[in-house]
Amino acid sequence: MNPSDADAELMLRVRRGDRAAFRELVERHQRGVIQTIHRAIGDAWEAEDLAQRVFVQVWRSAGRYEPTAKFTTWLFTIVHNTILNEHRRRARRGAESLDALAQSDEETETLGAQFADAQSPDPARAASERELQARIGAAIRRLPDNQRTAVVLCRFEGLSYEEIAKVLHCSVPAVKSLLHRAREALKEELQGWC
Amino acid sequence: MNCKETQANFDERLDSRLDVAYSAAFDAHVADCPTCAAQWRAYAGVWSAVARHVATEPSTGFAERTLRRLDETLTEKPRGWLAPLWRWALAGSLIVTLSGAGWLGWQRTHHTNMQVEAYITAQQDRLEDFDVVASLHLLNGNNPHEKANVN
Ligand SMILES: [Zn+2]
Repeated sequence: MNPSDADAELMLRVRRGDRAAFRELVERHQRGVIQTIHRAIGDAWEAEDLAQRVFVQVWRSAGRYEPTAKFTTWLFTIVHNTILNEHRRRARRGAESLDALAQSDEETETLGAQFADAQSPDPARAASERELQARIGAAIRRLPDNQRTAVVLCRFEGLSYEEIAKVLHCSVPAVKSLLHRAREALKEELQGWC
Repeated sequence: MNCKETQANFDERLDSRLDVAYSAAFDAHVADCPTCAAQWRAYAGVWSAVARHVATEPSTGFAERTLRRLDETLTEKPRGWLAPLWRWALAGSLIVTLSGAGWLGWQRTHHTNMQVEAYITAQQDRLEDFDVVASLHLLNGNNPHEKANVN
């Protein structure tokens, strides 16, 4: 059974209220969901909180799932909308959002530091890797919502243009254009670092 | 393949969307043309750097906590008692009423204003949860109109 069939089968069980199937779906997709949200908002704790909301929404919406739709497309549609909502919420609570942004930059740097230290025993190289990690994270977060989702789904989650188009409710040429503009923006932001 | 064509296909080449013959022609041009080679290095280099970005890993017990949260959510007062169309109608009228109430509140006292604003914000948050459901509706093919572009 391919992974996509396995997901569809689990979702059909979730539709019948099967908690074990739900748990299995969470375990299969928790990493992709948490990391996609983390790359959008920067805060690891908040990313887990929002990821839980995503999975609760999966349970609640299971009755609307049709096996004709690939589960990951369906899941990332919920993820993308949850991120949009979170950005709107943060925009409404302006001051809090600035605090959160400062915190998320700090946190990303810590995460990058752990990675850099693990990757290289050379302190100078580790420092430069840490800086690069922080810059890449910030550059991804600064992209407009749809560009960022297109980049994350294409680069990290391996979705095709057609699947990304479904998640963003747009055409395949629009996805291509989103990715092109995002890559140009990232190139601009990361000039001299890559 | 000329320079213009090569550079127009950077994205397709990165995403392996060119067929074998076209891909070979692309690579041959880049190997021979210093201008395209430099631009390709910069473009592809950033994309490989992005792939190295590290995001957080799920913490231990995430699935367990998600199940607990689900239980908490399910014991809350159910919200699925209205048909989707009625939800939107209700949500719309709620916003109109609350906006009016918010305006009146602002007119009266600062304290009331703050309370009404908080209430409106909470209702907006709730409305956005409806957006998620609406987008799944679109995904199931219930709306044939696609947005041509986005942001
Ligand atoms: Zn050339």
